[in-house]
Amino acid sequence: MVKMAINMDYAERRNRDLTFLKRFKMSTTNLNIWYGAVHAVKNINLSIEKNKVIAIIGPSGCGKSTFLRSLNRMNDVILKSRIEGKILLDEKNIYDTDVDVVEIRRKIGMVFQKSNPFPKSIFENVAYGLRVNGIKDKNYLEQKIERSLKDAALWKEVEDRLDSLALDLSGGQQQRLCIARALAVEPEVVLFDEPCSALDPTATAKIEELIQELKKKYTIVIVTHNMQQAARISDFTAFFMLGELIEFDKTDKIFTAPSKKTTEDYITGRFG
Amino acid sequence: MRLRKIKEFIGFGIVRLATIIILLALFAILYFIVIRGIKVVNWQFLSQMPHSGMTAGGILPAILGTFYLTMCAICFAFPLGVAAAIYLTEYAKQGKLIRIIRIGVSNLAGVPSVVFGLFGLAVFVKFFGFGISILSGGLTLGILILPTIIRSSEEALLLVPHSFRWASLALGASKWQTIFKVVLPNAVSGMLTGSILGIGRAAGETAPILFTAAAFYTTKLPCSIFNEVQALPYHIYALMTEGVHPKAQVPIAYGTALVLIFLVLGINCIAIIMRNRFRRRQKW
Amino acid sequence: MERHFDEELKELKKALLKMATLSEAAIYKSIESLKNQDKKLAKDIINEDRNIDELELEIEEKSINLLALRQPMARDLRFITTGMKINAELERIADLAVNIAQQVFELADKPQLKPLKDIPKLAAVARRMVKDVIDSFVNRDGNLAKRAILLDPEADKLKNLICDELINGYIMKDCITAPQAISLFLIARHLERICDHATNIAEDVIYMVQSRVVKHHPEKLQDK
Repeated sequence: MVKMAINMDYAERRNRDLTFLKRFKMSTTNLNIWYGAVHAVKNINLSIEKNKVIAIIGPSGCGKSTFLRSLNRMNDVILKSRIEGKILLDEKNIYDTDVDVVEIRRKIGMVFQKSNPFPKSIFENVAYGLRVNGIKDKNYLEQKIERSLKDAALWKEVEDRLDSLALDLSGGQQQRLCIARALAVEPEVVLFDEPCSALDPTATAKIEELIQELKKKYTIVIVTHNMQQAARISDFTAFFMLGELIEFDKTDKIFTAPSKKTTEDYITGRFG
Repeated sequence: MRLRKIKEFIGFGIVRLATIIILLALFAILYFIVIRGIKVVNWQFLSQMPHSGMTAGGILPAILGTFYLTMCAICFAFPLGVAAAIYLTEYAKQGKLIRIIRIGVSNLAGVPSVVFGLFGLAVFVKFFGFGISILSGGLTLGILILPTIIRSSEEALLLVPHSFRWASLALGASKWQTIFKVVLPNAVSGMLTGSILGIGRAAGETAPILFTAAAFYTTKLPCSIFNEVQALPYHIYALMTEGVHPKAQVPIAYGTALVLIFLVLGINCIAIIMRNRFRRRQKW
Repeated sequence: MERHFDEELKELKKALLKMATLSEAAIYKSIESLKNQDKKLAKDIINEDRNIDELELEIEEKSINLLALRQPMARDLRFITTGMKINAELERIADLAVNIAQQVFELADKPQLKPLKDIPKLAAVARRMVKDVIDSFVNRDGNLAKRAILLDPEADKLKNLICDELINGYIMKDCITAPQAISLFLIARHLERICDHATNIAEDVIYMVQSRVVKHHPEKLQDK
């Protein structure tokens, strides 16, 4: 009932105030996802504010990654799932039949848990997204790649070896390369799926710094099971459990004074 | 404790023995062929036409014929097999139908090769009217090695990590672009390895070309794909079963067998070397 | 689920309770020493303050360590930060008890100005408040904390009454007894300050329990 009240509150606020709506880059309405008979994501209503970092936390199997992947329709490829409800990107439902999935994925980039550079050169990795989008102009490519690598805080480390194989970079560098690759196609939203889970603390710190820098230009959604990480870098935090959105609020509120007991138990480690 | 050790000793002894028997068989074959064939093999043998009713001269037309036939087979089977593998792994909805197709492909590999020969005779030689020719024989051999190529191509495609496909799709690439720019370049070495093994098999087969391509004896080299040719395996068969001068023919047959066996071994070696290189380069 | 961390939090709570007990005892003794003109007891208070100072440092160190090593969140975080603030408030309360004891020294050898009437009343309010806020902290009782805060105006009223009487009735009239009157004046002021610190503690407890900030927003006290 309390959750319903929050959902109602959101819906009301959205309808009441158009300027309020303009603040949001994406929002989901009554989103449900099934894998076969498994109801993985249950009735999620969530609005994602522009130029903010939204962290999604919750125990393993809580549906947070599934939710994230539904935001750029990667669920279509990764695991076959059935979806109900709406996901709006700038007031357009990305699951409408007239929507070009490829275009959606260009607008909503994604960085995966394990860094996955192509077995190509650093240059070609970043150029890939541009090339598949039909850009051939050499000068433009070079400029764009430099810009993206700078945005991903990797330029200084690789500027003199753009032609060397991406797989020779360190784990942290590879992940930043993947971020640069995602940024090159000028997305509007960037989704991060546990981007630091395979990295050491120094590399993690760099990526966290980077994410906070990136929110100036992009809207960011990050799934993490490191709560301190969510606390450090996000503006809003959503707590998922068993496919439900238990609590969604400003990060400082969630981590100092959550309003639900379940949230409190989870973030203080009193779970189970 | 002791009983366990004895059991272990016997167990290992049996498997060791099995390995030794296999190695012995392989070396016995090589030994007999080499001993009997090495006398006739020299540069003239490899580079001259046969003459005097196959009792003298070289085997150049058979070597070239085998080369043309396998080339023809691979040109036909490689693109077809790769395309089928792409469809099966990347596009088709994984389900009952695909399972049946996979089983079908596997069974195709088990069909006796003489049946392929008959099929080639009926379809390529007669129905399409290609006659007994390099084309008919090559296509027949192509169908013979198709299952190998499809299998190895599928395996190569499945070896490309999913994360590559996801990364590409997440960057706004279409499925087609993803397959052509990311998946295929990373699978092609594996596909080639499998296909070369297929070539090795095609080069050694007699039955499929028996009715479709092989000439018993020619004094000319073929000048188009519609000519019939001699081929190494069939040449051996002909030398051993036909003709009137067994004394002169048998050593030539062993020489031919030696050439064939080293050709096939060589092709397989190339495949193994390629695979090892490919594995070393792979870092994901 | 019981965590190792819970043990550490319990230890911190125990230390805070000890701190509270010592501070409360200091107030009690200071008032007794005043009533009985007991210099020995006053001396005790001053000596014991050293222990309280030590304990304050110990609690502070414990809290900082927990913050650094456990990175507590939510209620754990609120408990530790509130504990640190309460710790400081309790130490101030104990200092004020010492200040009262020092005035008792001044008064002890001189004849009593008049029978004490309002000062014991104010002292009772102060003790009551300190006791209540400590109980509210121990029992995580927001309502008790709120009731303690509501006692504060009474303390202010009493203090003003006492001070007016001392100024107008003694200090302005008689130079000879003025030092005693000033001592009593200071004692009243110290007691009132103790009530203020108790109020702070009560506000911190309300934050800890209900995660509402009522400090500097007395109107928020009325909700709930």
